[in-house]
Amino acid sequence: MVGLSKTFRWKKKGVDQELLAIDSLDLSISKGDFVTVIGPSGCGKTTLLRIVAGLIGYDSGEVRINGEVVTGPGQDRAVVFQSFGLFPWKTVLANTMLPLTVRSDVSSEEAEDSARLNLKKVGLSGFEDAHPHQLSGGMQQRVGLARALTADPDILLMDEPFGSIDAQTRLVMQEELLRIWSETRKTVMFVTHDLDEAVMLADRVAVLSPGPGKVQDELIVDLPRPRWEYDLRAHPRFAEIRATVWDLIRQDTVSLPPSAEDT
Amino acid sequence: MKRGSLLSGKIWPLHVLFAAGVVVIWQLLVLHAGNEVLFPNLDSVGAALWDLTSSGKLHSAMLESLRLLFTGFTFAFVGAFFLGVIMGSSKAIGMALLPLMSFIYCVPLIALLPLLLMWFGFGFTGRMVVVAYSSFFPVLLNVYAGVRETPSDLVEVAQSIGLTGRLAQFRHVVLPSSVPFVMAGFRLGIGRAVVGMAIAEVFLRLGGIGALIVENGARFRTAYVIAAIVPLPLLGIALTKAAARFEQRVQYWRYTAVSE
Ligand SMILES: Nc1ncnc2c1ncn2[C@@H]1O[C@H](COP(=O)(O)OP(=O)(O)OP(=O)(O)O)[C@@H](O)[C@H]1O
Ligand SMILES: [Mg+2]
Repeated sequence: MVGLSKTFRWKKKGVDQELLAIDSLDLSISKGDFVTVIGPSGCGKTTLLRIVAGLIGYDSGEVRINGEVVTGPGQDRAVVFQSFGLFPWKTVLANTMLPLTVRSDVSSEEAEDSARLNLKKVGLSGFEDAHPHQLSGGMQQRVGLARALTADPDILLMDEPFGSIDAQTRLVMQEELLRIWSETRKTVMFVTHDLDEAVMLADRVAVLSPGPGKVQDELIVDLPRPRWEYDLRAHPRFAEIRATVWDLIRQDTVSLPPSAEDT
Repeated sequence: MKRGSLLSGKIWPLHVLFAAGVVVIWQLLVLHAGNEVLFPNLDSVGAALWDLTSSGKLHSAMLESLRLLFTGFTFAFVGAFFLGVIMGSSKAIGMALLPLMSFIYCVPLIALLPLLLMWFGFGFTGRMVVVAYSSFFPVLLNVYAGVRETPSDLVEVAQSIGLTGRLAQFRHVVLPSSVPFVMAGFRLGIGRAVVGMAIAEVFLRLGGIGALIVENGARFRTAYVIAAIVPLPLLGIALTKAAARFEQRVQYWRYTAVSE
């Protein structure tokens, strides 16, 4: 994507309001890459993801996938939503199957098999017939992940998918995601505000500046793969990269211009 | 301990206790007034109820009333459902019609009766319109709210998995997510339909339970009036309860957690 900008416009008491959420952002992701996008809350990460997913439009710039301008959602992309986005009236299995159920070229047996397999991958075998409200937040998020995997897209767009998962499960899930990714080589754009996570998973970390979102810097993570075969955190290079990213984020926070109320 | 067991135990002993209290107070009034026309003894009410039942009068009146109730309510429900969906789906239509709907909703039924009478007559049509009118708006406003309040994040999910058409989104998101609202509208609507039915049968051409009440009232047979009134709230409660039951079944995804 090149020079991407997005301004939210709405009316409040008849007065036009606007908020620049993303300001001339440039980011390119090559096929098969795992890119994490890190930035503070409210900097426009979700907005960026929704634009790439084709769920909302943008004002200027361009988003291209394989050379084609994005005009709407497509089967080549699947989203793992920050707020899970599960249908409360459907069972876990039906939720997971849904991306395939709505497609006419996939039989329902195929859809079910694929959904069961992916539920197993995220550790939710045995919960197929439960309804989302019977699951914990972390489990619901994993259903969201299983659903995106079932859609079998080329590009996975993940919005803080492990945000509400406890630390241990999160480690397991991260490893599982890396395994899935190494098997399928999907292109992944992974939004997070967790520094360790950003570095652990990625080929490349894009650091967003606090709103309006802009890519502040990008860092190549040249840690050897597969990363689950050694103690990543003990790797000296991990500490180095982590420190660099942390510096970038801290600079942002410190150099934040004083807000109108303060002056 | 005692408190806990009373609260956690079955609720029906309380109902029985309360009913007994009402009976005692009533009988005290009977004794005090000593006037069968004002406060008939419960004996006579019971006898009247028995007379109405055994003669088949209550039965046929009830059938007539139910036919009116269900035809009127069906029309109201179907019409209100479709209008509610249309109003909820199109912001422009919703905004345009809502003030008008709120306006009509606030006109008391009694005030409208003369008009409805002139337009639709005394017959079955007129009475049905009264029933339909009284139950239309609770359904309409609930369906409208349900459609308006479709969770936008779920619409986004639907879009992202390729349900981009309005119709597909309606089927997969809008309709299921508004089920609780539709059911609430059904429950409220049917309760009001019973009221509308009684009004229609009393103020338009006499018929059904309403006729029983008015005819006996005119002859000061108070015991018979009471005996004829009692089935009305019972009917209302029974229908509302049945609707609530059904509501729970349709919303099982909300209730299973509680009941387990
Ligand atoms: N629909 C909208 N209308 C108006 N403003 C919006 C809308 N969606 C987001 N914003 C604003 O855009 C900015 C970026 O929001 P966004 O949700 O992308 O942040 P985020 O980086 O995902 O934050 P978090 O880490 O908390 O999820 C915020 O200031 C938010 O208030
Ligand atoms: Mg977000």
